[in-house]
Amino acid sequence: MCNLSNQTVKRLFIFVLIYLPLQYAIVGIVGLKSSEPWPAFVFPGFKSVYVYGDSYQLNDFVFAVEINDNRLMREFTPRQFFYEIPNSQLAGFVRTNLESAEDSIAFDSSTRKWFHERGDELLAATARNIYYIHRRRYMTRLDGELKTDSVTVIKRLNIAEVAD
Amino acid sequence: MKSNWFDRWIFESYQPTVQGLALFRIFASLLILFFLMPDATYYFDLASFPDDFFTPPPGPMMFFDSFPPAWVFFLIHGLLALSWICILFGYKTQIASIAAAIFMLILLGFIFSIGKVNHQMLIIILPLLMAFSNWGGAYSLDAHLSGKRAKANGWTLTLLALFIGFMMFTAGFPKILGGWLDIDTFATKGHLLNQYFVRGRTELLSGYMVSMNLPWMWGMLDWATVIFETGFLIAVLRAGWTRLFVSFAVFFHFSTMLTLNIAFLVNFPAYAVFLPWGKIHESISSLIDSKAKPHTIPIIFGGALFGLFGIIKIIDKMNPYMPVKEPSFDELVLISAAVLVVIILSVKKVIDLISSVKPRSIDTL
Repeated sequence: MCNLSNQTVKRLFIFVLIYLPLQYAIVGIVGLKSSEPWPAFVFPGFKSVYVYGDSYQLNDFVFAVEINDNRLMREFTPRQFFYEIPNSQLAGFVRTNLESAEDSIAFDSSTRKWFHERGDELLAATARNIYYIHRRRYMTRLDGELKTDSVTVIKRLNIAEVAD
Repeated sequence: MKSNWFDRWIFESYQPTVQGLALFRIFASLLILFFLMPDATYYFDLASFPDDFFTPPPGPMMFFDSFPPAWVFFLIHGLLALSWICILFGYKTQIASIAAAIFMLILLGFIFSIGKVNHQMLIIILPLLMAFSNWGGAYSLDAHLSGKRAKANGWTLTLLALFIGFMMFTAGFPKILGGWLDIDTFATKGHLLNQYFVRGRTELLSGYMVSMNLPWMWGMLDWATVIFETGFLIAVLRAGWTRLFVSFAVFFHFSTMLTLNIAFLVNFPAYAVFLPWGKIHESISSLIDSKAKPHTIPIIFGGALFGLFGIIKIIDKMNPYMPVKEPSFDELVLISAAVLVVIILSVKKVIDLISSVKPRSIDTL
């Protein structure tokens, strides 16, 4: 068993006391430029505020899969579409991989194929176009109940385009 | 030479016993092996995802350009499990503890390369720091083979408290900047609604809380969260304060589990270090005649925990009560048990305080 001397332990504490705030500053800067670095000694901030008085703002993400035969759409939540990904990682996964994408070219052919296969599996039929939709829902409390005021589409992206 | 405040804080804040740390070692190993190993069934999914989904966070995982094959995940998982088994039996404890931290770091690095980092660093820091605590100094194969008497290093607990305190601060500080203390906004409620309506976390008390329209309560919860998270950093200065804030943390996670359905069991092994393991050891010793057979204590303690955790795990897998994944049955039981332990210890502390005050008041009379 390697036991550290008291002097080494004191130096280690001084290093940690300097390192922790320094790495936090770096996490902040890198996080602003791209995403949160890892490994880092931080906990989640959850700093966003979505409630102002009696008005609430929610962000909905859905995957609309077009059925090849009749061109009808079926919507799936991220939890349904990416059922294997843990719920704790889903929102971040969607934000990183889909919210940042500009168009379907952002995904290579193997990824588009994967989306199609997933669409086929969920529909139990052949999927055509698959859309990623980000909606913002505004809710108000009326007579003690939460009611949706309005819905705005923030983003609609065809992630597995099929040529007509 | 007289030691200064800094020295006393590092070396004298905590005075664990080597036997107490050994019991904690057995507890933490079993807790992690039973409940906190990454989900191995996920490895096949990760390995089969298209390369586009490999979006590593800034850091060492950027050296890779895709998820490794499933066998690599299983190999690292196996080595991680082996490291924790070695820690459990106290075999090559220091090396095994460092190895457990490294293997968990690699495994989580790949898992978080899906585009979302979960904040599970405490499960990496814990074995890394405890490697230097001498938690393998008693009730272990190491102690049996070397025959030497080891001394527990309390500074590792001070350092762990510092990490927890700082990390809690990093959760609280952005909330201040983000407007959590604004009396016209209700951030906690916003997150509750987001979890409930968007992420489908609708179990336990979440529905009841969504319907609750008490502005003063939501405002108070915002303030309490910020005070608790930022205050933890100050609490690190004294062992008693740290224990108090760890108790708050247990209640905090319990309440977020009930309302937001987010159970953060992964932090609990690190919180559990601050339990009075020395006293727990004394209590067990007084019940068992361990002088004849010194290994009776770890065998009974480890065996009881093994049986208890095994039963919880079996019920969790059979899933008769909780058809939902979040929180799972084992998270619900273990976090509730932690709350119960904190309540029992708090009551005991209050009784001790009252009994220590009583004789003095009689003297005064």
